[in-house]
Amino acid sequence: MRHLLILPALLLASAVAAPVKYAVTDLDSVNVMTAENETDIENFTAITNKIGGTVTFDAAAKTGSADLTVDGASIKTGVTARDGHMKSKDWFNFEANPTIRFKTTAVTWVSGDNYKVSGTLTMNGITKPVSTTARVKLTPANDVTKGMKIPGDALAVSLKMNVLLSDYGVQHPAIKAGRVQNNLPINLKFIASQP
Amino acid sequence: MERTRVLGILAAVCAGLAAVALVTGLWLGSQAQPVQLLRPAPAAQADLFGGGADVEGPSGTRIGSPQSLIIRNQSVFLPETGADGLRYVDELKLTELGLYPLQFKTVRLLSILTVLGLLALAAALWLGRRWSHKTALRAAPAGR
Repeated sequence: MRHLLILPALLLASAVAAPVKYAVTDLDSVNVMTAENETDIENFTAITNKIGGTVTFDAAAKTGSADLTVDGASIKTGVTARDGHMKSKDWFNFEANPTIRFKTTAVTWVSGDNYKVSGTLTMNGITKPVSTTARVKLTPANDVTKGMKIPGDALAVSLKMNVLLSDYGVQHPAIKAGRVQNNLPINLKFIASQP
Repeated sequence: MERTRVLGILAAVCAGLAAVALVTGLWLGSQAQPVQLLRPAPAAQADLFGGGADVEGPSGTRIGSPQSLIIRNQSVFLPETGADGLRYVDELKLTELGLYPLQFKTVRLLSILTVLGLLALAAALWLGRRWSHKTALRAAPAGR
């Protein structure tokens, strides 16, 4: 008799623990990718809202995966001439390879909403392994999410990673001369929801 | 002697311009303040991402790290202030107004380069003046 009671409980638990697939929303007011760079003459932050892709998240098992894209050609730095340089072959070549792609390979829960994430980052046509920390918070649909026109539950994700420009084929002489930092901290923040 | 006089005047002008560049750089630099660009968002919206209690200042998305900026348009500043006089600036409003704030770093570098360039030019002109003066003095007895 006891076994008969345990079985439905286990089935229910497995149903609750099922991974759910979320798609990145098109909330331009919330979704943002920033990349900050230091140069001799100024520090600047490159920004775009054009983030896409999907996140699979299992709230009970505290694990998941993601396949995210960012439209590199839409990145703005506040200076039109510099935006043009970013798209050129001398820098990221977004004219030829506009898509920046981040795909996870392993996700480990650390504490609370924090996760350690390993994956690959493709930029300028080059794919390299990266490690990052991410904060993932699932909020069931409520007045706030409805007010933001989020179609279902809101999966808010923020992650930061550091990459080297030289790892992605950016070999501009200004980097070699130390006038532009080779290090590029990237921050990504977006809300995904069930489509 | 005319050439010597002109070189002397040019050297003095360059030295004067270097002083003006130095003062202008210092004056502009004195207006810089630590600024954090931010895209404001209602607290409830920011809470969706969690960790709100860890972050000081107004709710929203921080754009880049704090920088020392020169911003004269007071309408872009948010009322909240942070540690060490940090001011928060509405990044969306800045973009909307088409403002691209000057950085202290830029002012300092351009000021130093301008001052050094003008002082080097002034020194070269002054040396040229001395050479011209000596040449004129050497030429004078031969001419008599």
